[in-house]
Amino acid sequence: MATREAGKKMIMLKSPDGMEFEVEEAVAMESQTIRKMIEDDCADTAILIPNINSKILSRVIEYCNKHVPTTGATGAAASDTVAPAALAEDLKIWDAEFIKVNRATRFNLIQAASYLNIKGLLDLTSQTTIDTISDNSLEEIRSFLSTKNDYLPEEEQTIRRENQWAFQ
Amino acid sequence: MPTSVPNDVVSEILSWAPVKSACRFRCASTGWRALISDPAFVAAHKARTEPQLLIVANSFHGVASGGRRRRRDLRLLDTDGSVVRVVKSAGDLWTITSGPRGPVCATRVGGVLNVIDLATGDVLVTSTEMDDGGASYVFGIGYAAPSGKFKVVRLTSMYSYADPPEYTCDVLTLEDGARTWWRRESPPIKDRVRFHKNSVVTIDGVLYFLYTYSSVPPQVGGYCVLCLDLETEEWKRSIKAPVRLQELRSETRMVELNGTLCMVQPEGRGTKHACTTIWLLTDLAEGTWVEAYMIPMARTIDLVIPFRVMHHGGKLMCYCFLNGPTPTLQVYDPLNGTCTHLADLPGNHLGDVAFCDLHLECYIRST
Repeated sequence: MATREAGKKMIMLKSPDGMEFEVEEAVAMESQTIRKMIEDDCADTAILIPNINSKILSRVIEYCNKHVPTTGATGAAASDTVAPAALAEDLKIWDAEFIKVNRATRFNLIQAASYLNIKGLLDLTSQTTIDTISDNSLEEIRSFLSTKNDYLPEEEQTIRRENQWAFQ
Repeated sequence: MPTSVPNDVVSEILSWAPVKSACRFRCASTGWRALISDPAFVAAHKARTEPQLLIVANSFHGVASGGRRRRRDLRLLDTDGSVVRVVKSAGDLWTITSGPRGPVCATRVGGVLNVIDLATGDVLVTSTEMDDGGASYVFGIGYAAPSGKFKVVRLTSMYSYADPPEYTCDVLTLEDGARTWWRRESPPIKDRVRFHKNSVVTIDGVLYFLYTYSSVPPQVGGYCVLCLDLETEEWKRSIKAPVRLQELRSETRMVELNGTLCMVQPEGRGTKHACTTIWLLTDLAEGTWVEAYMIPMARTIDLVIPFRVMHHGGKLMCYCFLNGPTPTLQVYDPLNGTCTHLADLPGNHLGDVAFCDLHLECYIRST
């Protein structure tokens, strides 16, 4: 296993399109899926992350880098000078910038966060998405999340009547 | 045409939808209806999203006809004031409690008691012979499992020249047409007590009654909580209120906060140090209370009653009575100790307004 910076364990992540990313173990362990692999000793050389291309994987790593809890020598110094509330505020602004991506990338990030089990990223991506669409019309939602209205006319009438209050 | 979206991504996104939107999205396609009705989805949704908060209030409709007593409607309002549902002629709002499929509302029309499912507006059970709530009565209602029955409990204080007075407990099991009150074991009270009618709470099949006691001599007194198991109809060990609260200086309320019994006590009303302290019962068996919140109160606020801890950041939703005409809903953030205004409420009597939380499951089960 590679090591760098005075004993910090490094992990190699591989995307299916052949790119390799060397990340600190602590950063990689933001993903519960990878954490489990490391803890089960399945991560001796490199970990192949299926279904997540290098573009998305690099964004995910960027997120984990930012959100890894600041512990150890450098981390302690940082939290000495910055109040927790200010730190949280800073992260919020960073998150808001991070999530400014197109629809397809957003969906890819959700899928990656779901597979890698990164709660914070999953919360951020899904919540941001639902916030922008929850008040939209059914037509807009259908087109955004690509589902087709396959109700028979009378079926649609019934379900609409049952949920009529939700349209007001 | 946009590219297709994987099912797991759709499921992930929809599981964050507010309850109202989720119900609307069921109408998008048969696939979404199936997804949103799936028990695993409903459970994930419940863990992630705030339940829909509804304000339940009485209103009149129509005119009295033929000398018959007018029955009041029950209105369910969103926090933005829009009407979600009207239950016609439901009667006078008494209280809200948990039923087998979500919150229910108990209403009274004269001596008749109705239990209404708040997700559907259906009357679940109607019963007669509720005695007039005279000064010496205190009532509680709750759902008993596994027997699956709503029960009403009546405590009566019978004063006589003898000291202490006699206290009795009667139980009415609600079934259509039920009218028989059964006498049960008397509550475990030794002193002269006063029950607090606005501090009766039901959590997980146990009915809690707050009372103050005083015994002379020696001059001691304080707050205490009676606990009745609704299934066995037997009294459990009573719970002493938090020590600091025993000083009896101001009116205390007992409410439920996210399934936990809690005491609410305002202090220093009208001064700049006014605040409301909230204790949570963290250990039911030991009767351990923890002082969880201290909410500062502006001079204009008379009383703050918390009713929900929100999912994100442990914020507290509160009902605030002002010295003015309309009570408000406020959100208290314990991180920075401030309250923010959420909505104004109709009316200014607690008896006419109540709150309920509806999760997606209440609507899914009801269709």
